[in-house]
Amino acid sequence: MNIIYILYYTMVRFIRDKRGLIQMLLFPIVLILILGTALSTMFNPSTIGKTNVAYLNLDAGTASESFDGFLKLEEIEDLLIVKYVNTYDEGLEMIKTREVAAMIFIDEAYTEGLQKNEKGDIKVIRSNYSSFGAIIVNSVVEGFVNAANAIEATASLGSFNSQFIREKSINRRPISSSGRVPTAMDYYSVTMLAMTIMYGASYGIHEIGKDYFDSIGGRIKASPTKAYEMYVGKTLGVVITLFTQSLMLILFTRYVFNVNWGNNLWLVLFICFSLTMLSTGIGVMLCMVCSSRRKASSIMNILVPFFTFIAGGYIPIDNIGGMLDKIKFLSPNYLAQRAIFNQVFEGGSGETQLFIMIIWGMGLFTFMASAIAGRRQIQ
Amino acid sequence: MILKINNLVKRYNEVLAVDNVNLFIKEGEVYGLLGPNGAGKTTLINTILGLTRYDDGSIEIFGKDLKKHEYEIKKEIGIVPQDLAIYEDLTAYENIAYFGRLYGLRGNLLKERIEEALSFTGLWDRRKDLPKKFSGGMKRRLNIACAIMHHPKLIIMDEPTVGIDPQSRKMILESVLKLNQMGSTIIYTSHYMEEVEAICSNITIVDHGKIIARGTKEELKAMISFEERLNIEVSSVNYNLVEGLKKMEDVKECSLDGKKLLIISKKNANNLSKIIDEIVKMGVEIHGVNIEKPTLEGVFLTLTGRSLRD
Repeated sequence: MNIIYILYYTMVRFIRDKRGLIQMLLFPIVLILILGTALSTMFNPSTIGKTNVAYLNLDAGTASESFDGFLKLEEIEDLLIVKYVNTYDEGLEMIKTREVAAMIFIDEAYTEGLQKNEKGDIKVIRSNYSSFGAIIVNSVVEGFVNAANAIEATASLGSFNSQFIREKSINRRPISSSGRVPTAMDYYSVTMLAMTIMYGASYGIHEIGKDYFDSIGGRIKASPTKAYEMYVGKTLGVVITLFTQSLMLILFTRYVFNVNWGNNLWLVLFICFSLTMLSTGIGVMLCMVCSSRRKASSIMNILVPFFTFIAGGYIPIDNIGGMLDKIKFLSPNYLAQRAIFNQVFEGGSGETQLFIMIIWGMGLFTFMASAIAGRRQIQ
Repeated sequence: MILKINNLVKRYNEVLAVDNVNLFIKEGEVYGLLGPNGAGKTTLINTILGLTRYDDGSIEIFGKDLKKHEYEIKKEIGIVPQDLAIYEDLTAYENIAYFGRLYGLRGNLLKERIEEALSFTGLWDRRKDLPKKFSGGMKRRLNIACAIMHHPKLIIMDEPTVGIDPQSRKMILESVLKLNQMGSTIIYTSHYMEEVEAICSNITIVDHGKIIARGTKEELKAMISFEERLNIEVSSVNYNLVEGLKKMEDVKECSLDGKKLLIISKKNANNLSKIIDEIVKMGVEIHGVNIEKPTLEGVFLTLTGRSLRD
């Protein structure tokens, strides 16, 4: 029964702590709003648009006429805006001035070369500044060359019935990113939630520190309360308070910011609960190891922003490479964020379960370390 | 005996915090524990409360071995720590309810005890207030209320009157005596000698982890009262008078400090009237007489060579 009373009064005290409540609820909401609005463009998929390309055809033969016709196909015009130039230098100038991404150049001997079974080149002169646009131009030209080569090959094999038939080979299937990739608001709701839960470690530090190292700890230890009752009661009080705050954050962002928390809210809540346990465990462990509330709080105030940063909590830094890419797995924020993103946007998988198990493993370690450090404290 | 400590030893690495201490406290006593900071007083109290492990010796409380019956014994002890041990964000009522529950009180009994403890300390009218709105004295009283609500047989009070106003101090001292009359045995530590003199029946002086003296206050004072000191304020200085007084029977020393005569006589000399006669005979007027009596502060100073507040 003592555990329940300790838990109850711990929660009552947290609820009365208006400053703490504001810090744990209002602060992340404001941060989500600011970051989610200010950085929304980073998360919106943009349209590729049409690519400008310069075109110079010096050949007067029939082979290049086919290419002219090809460029005027509706499907190609959806991709390219062809700007006809009169000289090679004019095309190069347009590339330099970034007016076009590339230039397609056919020299005067193109048809003749093909007729003599010699080489016939369609050259693509690319710009470095728009590599993506140049790739599109390249692909279009390659598409034409491949088709031409195929016809040429079948003709050389004796099939004189080769006919160029245009068929509707492009099957348009529009892809919507909605619900498949997080918007800025979705992203920061998850990362700020993880950061808030991690800041909740200070609750653990405060509670265990007060009842272990302060004079009130002396009164409690002098009472017939068993150490495990105090420890379990306090820890549960902190975890439930923190979890309730997480739940409020999730519900608020879901209904006010329209954040997508997926269709399995229970699993998301369980991930939050797991991170809450770990966060409390880290707080308690630091407090026990440092034997000082102040020291433990200072360490936590350094660790939480660091964990948040390497987890991409402030700005997405996935696949950034280097050391950060390796140490991000040490961040509880990263584990929880990945588990949630995986669940909400990728339909959940073994990866989500793995991250949850790692979080619980780390939590177990912190509680064991706290128990060992706590025993050493008694002299 | 409510408390029996035999040959208790506690070391912190090389430091001997409690050095072979023997302490016996009878039921119904208000027992004073005196000692300067670092004397080993708190370590001794912490071992009695089971908060600190000890290296050697034994502690029996209520006739039971502390190590074997720790939780049983703790139910019957109340602690008033020197630093306030209350939650500032729980009301006075909730503070006592919380600690009462930790001591196993439930239901109507808990409610009765809360009311009793708050009334006893004069805080019933402020039961719904948070301690952060209380004065220092009121917080001290709540600190006591949290220690007595379970009717402990033994109450340990560690400097319970530090930093409070005279009215609150008076109230606390009266409370200690009342609690004692209601049947609790009290171990009381303080820097204030007058408090210890006023309420304690037996006193132990601790220094450097050792008990250096023990007994009733009269017994302790008797340890240093091997002489009697008189301070006499006179109208004029007369060196013949000083020499005359020095030659009197049982007078060990006579000196002048401005217009004050300091006369030290042998213990039980009973020569005050003779000294006054001698002064009057020399035609000197007496403006005041002060007989210096031995105090616990003097006892402590004599035994340890330093003041309690050092």
